[in-house]
Amino acid sequence: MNGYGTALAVCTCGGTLCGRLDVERIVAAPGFASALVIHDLCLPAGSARVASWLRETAADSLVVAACGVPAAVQAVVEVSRAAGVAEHRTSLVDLREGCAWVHTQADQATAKALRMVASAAAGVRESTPPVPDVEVRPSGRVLVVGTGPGSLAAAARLKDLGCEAVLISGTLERFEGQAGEFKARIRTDQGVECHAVGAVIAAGDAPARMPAVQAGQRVAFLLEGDPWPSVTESTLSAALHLARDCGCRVLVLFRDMGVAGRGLEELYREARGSGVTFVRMEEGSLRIVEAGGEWVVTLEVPGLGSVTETVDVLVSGATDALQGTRGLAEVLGVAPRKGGWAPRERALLEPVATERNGVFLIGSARGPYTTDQAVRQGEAAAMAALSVAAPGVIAVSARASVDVERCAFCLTCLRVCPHQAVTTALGQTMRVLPAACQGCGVCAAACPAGAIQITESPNRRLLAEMDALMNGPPLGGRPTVVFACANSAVPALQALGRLRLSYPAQVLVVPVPCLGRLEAVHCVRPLAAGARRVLLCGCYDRSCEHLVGPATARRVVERASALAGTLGLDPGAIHVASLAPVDWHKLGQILGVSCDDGDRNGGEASKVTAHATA
Amino acid sequence: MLPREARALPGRTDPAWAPVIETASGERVGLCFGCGICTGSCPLAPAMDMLPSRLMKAVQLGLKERVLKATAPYLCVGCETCAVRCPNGIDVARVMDAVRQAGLARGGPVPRVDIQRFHQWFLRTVRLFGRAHEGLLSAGFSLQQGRLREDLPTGWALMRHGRLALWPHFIRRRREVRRLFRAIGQRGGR
Repeated sequence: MNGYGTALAVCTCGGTLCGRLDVERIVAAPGFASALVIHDLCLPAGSARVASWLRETAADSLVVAACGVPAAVQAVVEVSRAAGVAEHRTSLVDLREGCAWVHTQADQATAKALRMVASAAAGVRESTPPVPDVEVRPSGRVLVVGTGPGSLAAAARLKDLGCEAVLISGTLERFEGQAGEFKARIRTDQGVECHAVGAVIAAGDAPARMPAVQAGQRVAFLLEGDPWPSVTESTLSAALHLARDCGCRVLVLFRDMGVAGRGLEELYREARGSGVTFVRMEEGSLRIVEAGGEWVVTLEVPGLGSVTETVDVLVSGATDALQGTRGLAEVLGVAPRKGGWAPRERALLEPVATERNGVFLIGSARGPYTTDQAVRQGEAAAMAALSVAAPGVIAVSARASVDVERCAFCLTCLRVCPHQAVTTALGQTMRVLPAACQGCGVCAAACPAGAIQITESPNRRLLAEMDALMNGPPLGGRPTVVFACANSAVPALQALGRLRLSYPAQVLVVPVPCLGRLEAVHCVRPLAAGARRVLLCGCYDRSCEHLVGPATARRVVERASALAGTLGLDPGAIHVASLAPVDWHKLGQILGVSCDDGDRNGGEASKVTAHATA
Repeated sequence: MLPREARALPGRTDPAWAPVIETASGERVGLCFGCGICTGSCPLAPAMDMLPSRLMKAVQLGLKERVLKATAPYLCVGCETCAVRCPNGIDVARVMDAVRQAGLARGGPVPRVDIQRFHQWFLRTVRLFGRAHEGLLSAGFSLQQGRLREDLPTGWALMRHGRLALWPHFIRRRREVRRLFRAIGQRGGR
């Protein structure tokens, strides 16, 4: 690292930050080769001034302390380009929503601002250049598996969009590659076919057939699908037909009667009117015993106690995915959920995508959807596939990279990656597929040698930033370090900032792409440096885009707490909290009570929460 | 909440019973999907042992023993608020009536003998005079229930204020009313 030094530019946001922070002290922060104060970074004049100043200082890295809005981010990029400083050598610190607007006491806020700026400087000095772009050349071909209504709709729409749909009916045996360049091997009646495609849209097998039922028999349908929907069009029509036309006694036991969509609501009503009895099952309320060729069904009905009915035919698992579908998810590298459907339900996910870029599941591969719904999903998948499979050239830079000198070829990264982004072959090194990698960092945390790293934030950088954050002017209390997941806690913190709700200045935030990025050492290090608490704030289990974040965080906290204990630190000081991006009030409360003077320094954020939850 | 006596009863369903109630009431009980609006609207619901929506579910399932042991149908006053609000257009009050009928048809004591007696005294006065007569109704009911001692002060106060007529009002075509009663009796009603 040569000694031209790091430059610091402070924007006072039109002078508004001067009232809340001691800007002079920040500009005089130690460790910078030169410093500048401006008032208008987001305006062309302001950023031009920074650029020309930066050129003069001949610094090789830059920290900009300003706000966090997209205009500021863009301004920093333009400055770096204009001044000839590599973009990875720049860092933007949000002193506005992240500091000035949320901390009430100016001296504490300034102390925190100084720490944030020092941390950014330590970070840029450890930054690594991005991996060179790789060109991915999709051919415009999309594999469509299945010949049901959803698949046909997808193929038709793909053709309209100018892509080539390879419509296939058979078993997918092998599937590898990345979005834009997949290789698929399918076994059909005619033999084995191999295809090179840019994306895959897969539907499952046709819904299960009904077992034979004779007229006048008593039938019970057991629908235990989880989660929504747990009732299918075929089940309702079968129930109606049996009750109305075959004189059967029909009982339908369900968990969730999701009948939104054309036709289902009417079908449901007609079934009820024809005498089909629908009973909702509570979790664990059902007991079924076979006795002499009959089924004795006992369940707890709220308000009516224990109810027993004897039936001749029991149709169960009508909403579980068939074996073929389960196999499909496995081959495609997508994690299944209960019932065999895939993918796992996640709040932020698009309706037809999965955690693997370029792989789309629709219709009966995804859930017991109706024909209508499958058709709509097929069309949606075709349009989504366009972005990764349309003919052309896409330049992608891998967000993770492997240091082959350190790699021991243990294949841990390959196994833990939730997005199937790590691959290798005999005689090759471990490779990260740039179009598949989503930059979560789970691989980096799992690698025993630290050989695979997130290019934007290798471990050295994260540790350097954390250490600089912990060493600085006093904050009025012991710090609480919050590891904030990019998909939940970071937006929640931004919301607190924009709403100008205050929380204690002792809260020091370390953003991470996913909680899965963290290891025990990250959690213990701040404690060793004097932190009062360490919080891992991330998504709920069901919402993690990278699937494993919250579970990893819990494991890490357990290990870290044990480690802290052996080091003579407080083992009860490390916690995990789950939030949605909109849970700013929950976060405010957590932050308020996690600091030394919980009540006094609680700030408005926690008080608002107390009011909101009272 | 089930009536205490009913809790001990086995909850075996009798699928053939629901059609009986459907025919008797003329309402498609199966249409009910358990939203609870009837319970929410019913002014008597807080006093009922089996809430109207639960009773509908019990009828659907064919829980004959439990339903016939409930006092809820006897508390129904037929205000029909439930019927007005039911999203499926079910007249829950008529279903309650059908349940009462089924209880009477089965024979034996009904869950609320006092209420049944009150109904019977009401009908008696209508058959006799062509019009309801509170005087005979309350006196007869009170005597039959053995409540004369408690009711006498109230009755006396009502009479003094001109609220309780001793002499009934006879309508002109009492014979036709009696014919009505005979016709219903022939068809099996009570």
